[in-house]
Amino acid sequence: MPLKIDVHSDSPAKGAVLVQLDGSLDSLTSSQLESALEPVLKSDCRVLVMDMAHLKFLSSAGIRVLLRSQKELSGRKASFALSNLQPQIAKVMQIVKALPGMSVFTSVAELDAYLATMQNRILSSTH
Amino acid sequence: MVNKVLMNRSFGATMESVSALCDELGNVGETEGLDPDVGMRLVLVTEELTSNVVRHGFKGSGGSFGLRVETDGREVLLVITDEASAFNPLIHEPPEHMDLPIEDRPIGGLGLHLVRTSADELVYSRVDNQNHTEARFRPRAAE
Repeated sequence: MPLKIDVHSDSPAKGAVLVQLDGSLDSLTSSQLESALEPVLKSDCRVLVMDMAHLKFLSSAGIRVLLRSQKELSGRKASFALSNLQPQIAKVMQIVKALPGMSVFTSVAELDAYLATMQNRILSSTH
Repeated sequence: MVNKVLMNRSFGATMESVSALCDELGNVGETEGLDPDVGMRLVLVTEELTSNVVRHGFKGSGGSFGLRVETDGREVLLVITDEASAFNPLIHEPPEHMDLPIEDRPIGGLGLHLVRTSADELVYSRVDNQNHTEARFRPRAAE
């Protein structure tokens, strides 16, 4: 199953990047995500949100890319978050105990509230 | 007990064939009416073990592996055979860093941890220069 990656850097919250995943994040496709995230991780992005509503399959190769991104962002005090994890995806993340260190949102409303808070924080830190 | 063979083929050791066979296996599981959780774990373990054979066993230098999947309608047996370098998925200790906060964890060792927790039984043998890995899956009580 291929992986479709949509990167949206035009979020209303400045410095926030939303990445939508659709398909399978596995040994074959994980390098595609890695390449797609490289410019985002090099940018001054403050928040990276992975929307996994349409992600159907996740294996360790994909988890590695997520963990690496999370690590890199937290190293420079930026945030990494996941949203809309399907049950089978959440289960795999739980087995490797990858969830406790990450922000996870279950709804668009929750995500919007988070982005609004982040935007305020970014605005107040630049003034 | 006569098991129905769902798949019994040889595949070229590439990530493309891993991806294609995982898709096929997922579809077969659905068609055969396997317990969805069993079907999901079967595909996950197949992906992890066969991608390991491609990446570490043959180090991307070609080769092939055999895959057989059979079921009695409830339990599923997965058998993977390859002539790559010896690799026992059982002797690799569960990564202790799993309990560390995510920032402090080295990355890696996740795949085998997923394999061991997702299979209900795992058997490995090395015979005639072949790795022979068997995994069994049974429906689990809802958590």
